[in-house]
Amino acid sequence: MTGACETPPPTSRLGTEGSALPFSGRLAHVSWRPIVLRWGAAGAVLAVSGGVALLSGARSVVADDLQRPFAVRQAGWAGSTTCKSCHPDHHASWHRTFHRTMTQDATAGAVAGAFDGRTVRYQGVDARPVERDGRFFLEFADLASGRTAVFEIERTVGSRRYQQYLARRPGDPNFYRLPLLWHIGERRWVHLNGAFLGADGEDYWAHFATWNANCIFCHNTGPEPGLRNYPAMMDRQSRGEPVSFDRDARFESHVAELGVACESCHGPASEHARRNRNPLRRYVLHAGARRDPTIVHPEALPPERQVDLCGQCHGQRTGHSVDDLVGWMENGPTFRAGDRLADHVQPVWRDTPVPPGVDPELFRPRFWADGTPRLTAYEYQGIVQSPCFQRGELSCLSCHTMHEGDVRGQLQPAMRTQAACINCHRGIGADVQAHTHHLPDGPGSNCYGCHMPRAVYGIMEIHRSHRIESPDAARDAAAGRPDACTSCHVDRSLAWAARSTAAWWGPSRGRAPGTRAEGADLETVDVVASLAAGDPLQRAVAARVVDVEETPLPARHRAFLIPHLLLALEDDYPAVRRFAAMSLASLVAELEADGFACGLAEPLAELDFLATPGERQRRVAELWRRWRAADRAGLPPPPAGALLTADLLPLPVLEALRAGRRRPQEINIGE
Amino acid sequence: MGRRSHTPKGPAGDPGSHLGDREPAARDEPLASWREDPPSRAAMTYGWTAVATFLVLGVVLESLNLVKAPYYLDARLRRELWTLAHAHGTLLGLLAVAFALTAPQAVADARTRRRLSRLLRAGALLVPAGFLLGGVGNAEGDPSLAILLVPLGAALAFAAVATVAWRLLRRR
Repeated sequence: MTGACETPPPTSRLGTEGSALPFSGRLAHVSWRPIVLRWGAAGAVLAVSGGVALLSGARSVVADDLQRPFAVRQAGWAGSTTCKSCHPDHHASWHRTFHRTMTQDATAGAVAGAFDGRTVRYQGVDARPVERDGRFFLEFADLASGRTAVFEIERTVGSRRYQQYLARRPGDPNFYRLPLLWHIGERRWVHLNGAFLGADGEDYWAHFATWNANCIFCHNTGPEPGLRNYPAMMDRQSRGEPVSFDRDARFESHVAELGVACESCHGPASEHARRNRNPLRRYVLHAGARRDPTIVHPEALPPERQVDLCGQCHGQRTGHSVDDLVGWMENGPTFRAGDRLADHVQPVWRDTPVPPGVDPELFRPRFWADGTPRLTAYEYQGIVQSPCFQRGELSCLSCHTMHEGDVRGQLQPAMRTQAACINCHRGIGADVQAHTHHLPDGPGSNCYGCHMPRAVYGIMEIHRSHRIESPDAARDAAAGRPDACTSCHVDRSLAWAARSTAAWWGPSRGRAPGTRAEGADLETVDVVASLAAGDPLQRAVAARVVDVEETPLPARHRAFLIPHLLLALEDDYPAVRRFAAMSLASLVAELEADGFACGLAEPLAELDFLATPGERQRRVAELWRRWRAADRAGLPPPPAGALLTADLLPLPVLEALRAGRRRPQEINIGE
Repeated sequence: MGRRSHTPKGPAGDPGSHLGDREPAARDEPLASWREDPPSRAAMTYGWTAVATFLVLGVVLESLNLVKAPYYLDARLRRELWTLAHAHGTLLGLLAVAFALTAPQAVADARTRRRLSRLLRAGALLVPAGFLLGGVGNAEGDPSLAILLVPLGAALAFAAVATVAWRLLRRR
C-alpha cells in the first residue's frame, strides 16, 4: 500500500461527505489565513521597504530643490483646475464659496436676476431686463429724451447679496458696469443709487463705471487691466485737448481666472504645479515637515503678512505715485501673496492725499471722524488699528477660514461666539459676567456686540466694524459714529452710555462726552439724534440697528421709534429709506404679534424705496395717517430724549434738528 | 512499509503547502471539476471569502455615508481609494471563483495550476489591500505609500490571468 492510497484525496472527501456546501469542512484545510498573513506581510514589507528606499533616494534628489528659496512672483498663473488635481478637497471647499463666483461669465447658471421683461422705472428711465435665446439684455429708454440703449450682459459680478452686470459697447473693448443690480435676497432690481449711498437726483448713469479700471483688481485672479493708450491720452492732454480717463481709456484686459481663486491667496502656482508633477518630490514633502517653497501657505505666514494678504482686496488702497497707478492699469497689481502690502501700495486712510485732479474729499467720508472705517472693503484698516493686532497676534485668519465653516462670512461656527475672543482673553472667559456686567449667556455678553459694533455700510447692509476696541461714548459722540451701548439700548443717550460705562469700568473708560458731532443734545436718544441729524451713513446705520435682535427692549418699548422711522422714509438717500422701511416692517410685525395693531403693515408692504417721489409721498402720508389714527394709549410713553410728545408724535425740536442736518454728501463706496 | 508522509510534495519536490493548496498528488491531466483540484478549491475558497469580505466593506462604506463620517466623506481621495478597494476586492474575488471553475479544464499542468492559483490569490489580495491602506494616512492628493501594493498585486493577478488566457489560446 502506498501512502498516496492511504491518504484519501481531499476531493473524494468533499464529494463523499455529501455536504450541501462545497466548502463545508474545507476552510481549515485550505488555510487561507496564512495566505493573507504571509502575502499581506510580504507585500507590506515590500511596499514599506520600497517606499522608504524610494523616499531616501528621492530626498537626496529633491533636497536642493526644497532648500533653495523661491520667489513665488517668478511663477506664472496656473488656474484652479490645475490645483484641483492634487488638492481636490481644498478645491471643493473653495468652489462652494462666493469668492469663486465673484465674477462669472453670464451663463444661465450664473445669472441670478429676473430677466423677465418687466420694466424697472427709476428717475425717468425705463430699464427692461430681457432674455433671448439664452442671452441676457438690459434695454434702457430715457423717457424724456426718447434715447434708448441696449446692452448684452457678458459678465456678472457678485453672487451672494446682489449681482451687478457687465456689458460692452459696440467697437469698445472695455467692460462697463450697468446701473441696475439684482438684489438676491429681496429678489428685485435696484438702481445703484440705492446701493452706493447716492442721493436722489443723481445722474442715472453716474455709476456706469469701467470694470477694467476698477472691479477687475479685486474680483478676479491675476488681473491685467491692459491699459493701452495712456501715453496717447497724455499727449492729447498736453495739447490742451479735453481728456477723460473714464471716457477715453482703452483696455485689453486679461485675467488668469474670473473670480477670486486659489492663487489670489497662495500666489502664482505654475512652478509649484510643474515641480510637483514629480511624485518623488511630493512624497518627500508628504513625509517631511518642510513646506514647499514654491507656493504660499497663508496659515504659515506671520500675522501681519496674513493681514496684508487679505488686505490686498479687503483694504482699499492707492499707489505710492501716479506711476504706480499707471503701472497697475497697464500690467496689473504687483502685490503677490506673502508680500508686504505697503511695499506695493498705500492703504487708504482718512487723510491720505488723493491723486491729482481727484476730489480732495474722496477718502475722508469713508471713515468716521476718528479714522475708523465705515465702509466695507476697509477691513484691513480696521484690523491694523486694533490693539489685538498691534499688541497681540490677531490676524484675519484668527476668525476667518477660506476652506471651512460658513461661506457667509467665511467664519467657523465657534468664531461667531465668545470663543473667538476667549481663546486669547482667558481671564475674561473665566468670569464673563464680571467683565460684561450683562448676563453671561445673553446678547450683552457677546464680545462682538461691544467690541465690534455695527458701524460699517456696504453691499446694502450694515456690518460689524473690524476695528476691535472698547466702547467709549465720548469718542463716539465726537466722531459722530455709532456707539456700541446704544446700538442695543436703542432708547438711551450717549450721556447715559458714558455714565453707565464709568459706573462699571471706572472714569477712565467712561469719559463724559463733550458734544455730539452733529450738534444734538447729549441726552437725546442716540439713534434718534443720528437718524434726525447725522450724515447719510449715520442715518443709514441708525435706521438699521434699531432692528437688531440683540436689543433687550420688548417691541412696545421700541414703539417710540415708529415716528422716527416714518420720518426716515422721507430721507433723500434711498439706502436710508430702505433700512427705515425694513426696520419699521419688522417692528410693526413684532407689535402686531404682541397685540398692538396700528395698520402700518399693509401700506409698508407697498412702499418701494426707489419709487417716484410722488408715489412715495402718497404712501408715507398714508402711513402717518394710520399712525396718528392708531390707538397708541396702550403703548409706553417715549423715553427721555426721544423728542416726541407723550402720545408718540414728533416735537418741533425734532423737526429743527432734521432741518439743520448736514448737507447730502455722497460717499464713494469704492466697491 | 511505514506510511508515507502526510505532507505531499509536487512532482518537482515543491513543498506546495504554504499557500494552503496542498494536495496528495498532482495530476497532469485536465480534471473534471474544481472539487478534485486543491489549487482550484483554494481559489474558490479565497474568491467567495473575498466577495463576502469586500461586500461587508461596501456596507461599512455605506454606513460611513449614513453617519456622515467626515474622515471618509470629506477626503475625496480616501473615498475614491476605499471605493476602489471595495470594487477591486469583490471583482478579483469573483475572478478567483472564475479561475477555480475553469482552471481544471484550462490548465492541464498541476504545478502550473498551483502556481497560477497562488499568483491570482496574492494579486487579488494585494490590490484591494493597497487601495484600502493607500487611503489611510494619505495626503490630500496622493495615497500613502501602501498604494505600492496595488501595482504589485496587479502584476501578479495579470500574470495569472494572462497565463490562463495563453493556455486557452494555445489549445485552440
